[in-house]
Amino acid sequence: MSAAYLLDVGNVSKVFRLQKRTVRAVHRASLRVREGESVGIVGESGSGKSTLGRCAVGLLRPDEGAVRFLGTDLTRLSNKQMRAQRRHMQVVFQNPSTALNQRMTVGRNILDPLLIHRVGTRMQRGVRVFELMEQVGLSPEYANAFPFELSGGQQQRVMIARALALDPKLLLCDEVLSALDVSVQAQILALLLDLRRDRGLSMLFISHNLPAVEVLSDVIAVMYLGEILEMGRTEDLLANPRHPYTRVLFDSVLDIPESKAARKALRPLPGEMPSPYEIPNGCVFHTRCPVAQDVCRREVPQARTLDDDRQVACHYV
Amino acid sequence: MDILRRFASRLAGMLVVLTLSIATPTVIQFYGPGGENSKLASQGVSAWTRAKTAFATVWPEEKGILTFHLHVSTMSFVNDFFSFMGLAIGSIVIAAIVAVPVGTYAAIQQKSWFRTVLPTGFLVSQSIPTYVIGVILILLFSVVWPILPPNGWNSPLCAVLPTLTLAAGNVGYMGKFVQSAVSETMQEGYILGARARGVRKWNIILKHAMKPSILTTITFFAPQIAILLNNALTIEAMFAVPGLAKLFGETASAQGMGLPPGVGMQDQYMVSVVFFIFALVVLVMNLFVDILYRVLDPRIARLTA
Ligand SMILES: Nc1ncnc2c1ncn2[C@@H]1O[C@H](COP(=O)(O)OP(=O)(O)OP(=O)(O)O)[C@@H](O)[C@H]1O
Ligand SMILES: [Mg+2]
Repeated sequence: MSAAYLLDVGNVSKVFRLQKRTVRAVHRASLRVREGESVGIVGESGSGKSTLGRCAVGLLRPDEGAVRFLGTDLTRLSNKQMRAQRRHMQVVFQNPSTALNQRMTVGRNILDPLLIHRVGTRMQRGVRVFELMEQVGLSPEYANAFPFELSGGQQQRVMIARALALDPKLLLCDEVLSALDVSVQAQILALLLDLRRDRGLSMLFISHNLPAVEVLSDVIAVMYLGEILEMGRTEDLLANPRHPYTRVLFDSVLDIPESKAARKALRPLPGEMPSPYEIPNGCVFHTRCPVAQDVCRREVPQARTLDDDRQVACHYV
Repeated sequence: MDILRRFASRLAGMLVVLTLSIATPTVIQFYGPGGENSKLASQGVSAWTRAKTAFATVWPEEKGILTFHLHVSTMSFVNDFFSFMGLAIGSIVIAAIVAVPVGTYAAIQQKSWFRTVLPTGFLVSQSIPTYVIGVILILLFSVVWPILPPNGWNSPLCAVLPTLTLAAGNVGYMGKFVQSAVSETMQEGYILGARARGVRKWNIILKHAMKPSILTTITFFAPQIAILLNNALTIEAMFAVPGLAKLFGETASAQGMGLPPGVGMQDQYMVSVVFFIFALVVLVMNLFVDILYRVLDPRIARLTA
């Protein structure tokens, strides 16, 4: 069954231990990515999106749970085996100016993964670098430039080219748009859409930018305080958000309800997300939930599967 | 072309500094107590004429500015200078050989006693004055376990204790600096990027983290060599190494005392020469760092080209 999925993240938890306190960054999160599918992860800052993404591509080892990539549990691999798997899952990071090695030329940065994994001959690698640059829309004369000589959008293209160099099956994009200007965001988004269409690339797309997530994702997972509160196919989720948090997140701007009571339920969230050091009892969202009742303060709602791909964790759905 | 212009302006700046480094001690000695000024004043020479004489000492008419007419023989000066520099450079090399790997290890070691013990060791090495380290080493290796000569300069073994003493003090500073530089670099985004591509752990540490950290370490320490040279003067005296300290002491301490030849060589140029050499070493080090940066960090080269 799990072989049908490219990536199957099951009940993954990750706790960071600081000097005195512990941070529950991700708690029992599960998601699946099919071949060629794109899954978006949305949520407020600090909700654990990056941590979940990093666990999913083996950059962090989860405390609990399994991460199956094509049936192999990444959490059980040795470092060496993990390195071999990495070529199938590459990462595009938020800030290209720090994630690229600024001491290497653009060409060398894109070449690096090919060298590390000893792909092809010297000649083939050289050709591949220019192929990749063309694919991401970079003119070949930039090959000898240094990243700092390029604009933010161009640097992001370099990072995407570098991530594509090994022909990965899965691409983790962690806030790849947020460091860019709005017009450049649209260009990079268009590039990612093309890549998905042309290469059938699977993606984990983490972003604050809801419209971008909607355009790019087949499935959206909504995270809050380390938990996935709701998940579903993009059209379903947008048409019919079930979890109160999802409703606030997607609905509030567009559809203003008729009845006063319903309007009240949808006003912007009161207060802030609680600190991840002090996770509320019961449902993590109850402190800000417009419809919270006693049971929400006492009992953790179990994630329930409604229909295929739709999953909600709320007592009142 | 632009780089040549930069280099030329740099050299011009260095010449100005070097000229000042000759003029300053000369003028101070002229006006200092027991100096030429007081003698001329007692003979009733006017202040204006005295000032003109001071200027003439800096720029002796018959000799060029860079001619130091030393009273000590050039050979003995060169000998002393090289034992001094050998001590200083040897100690830096030894300190770096210890501090770079240890500091790096302290930075990448996540938990374990290493992380608490090492910084303490660095702190101890930093806070004990160099001469105390010297005494401890002499006690250990010349008295308790007499394998090394406590002083003198007649066999290569004599160099061991003074070099180690100087190095021991620097290991702390350098190790701490390397540690913080490496742990800072390890936080950089491109390190995670390298991990995501599947770069081996040791390659990440050696190539991606240590290289830039060593660069920052060099750029930080090279211009500070003057401090090290000062320490070397103390240690030379302590271990009776015939170096610049000895020469300096013999010549400068005789200033204005009117001692007969042989007791102290009253050589006012000696002071200027040492001053000049310190300035020269610091300037050359700075130049070296700038060149190194240009070679190793393309950003600097491109942005300032
Ligand atoms: N390496 C770490 N050590 C300690 N705490 C961490 C670490 N990484 C993340 N955290 C904590 O885990 C929680 C989740 O962080 P994470 O970066 O996954 O959130 P995020 O949803 O990606 O936020 P953002 O949108 O700001 O990127 C935060 O409270 C964060 O402080
Ligand atoms: Mg994040």
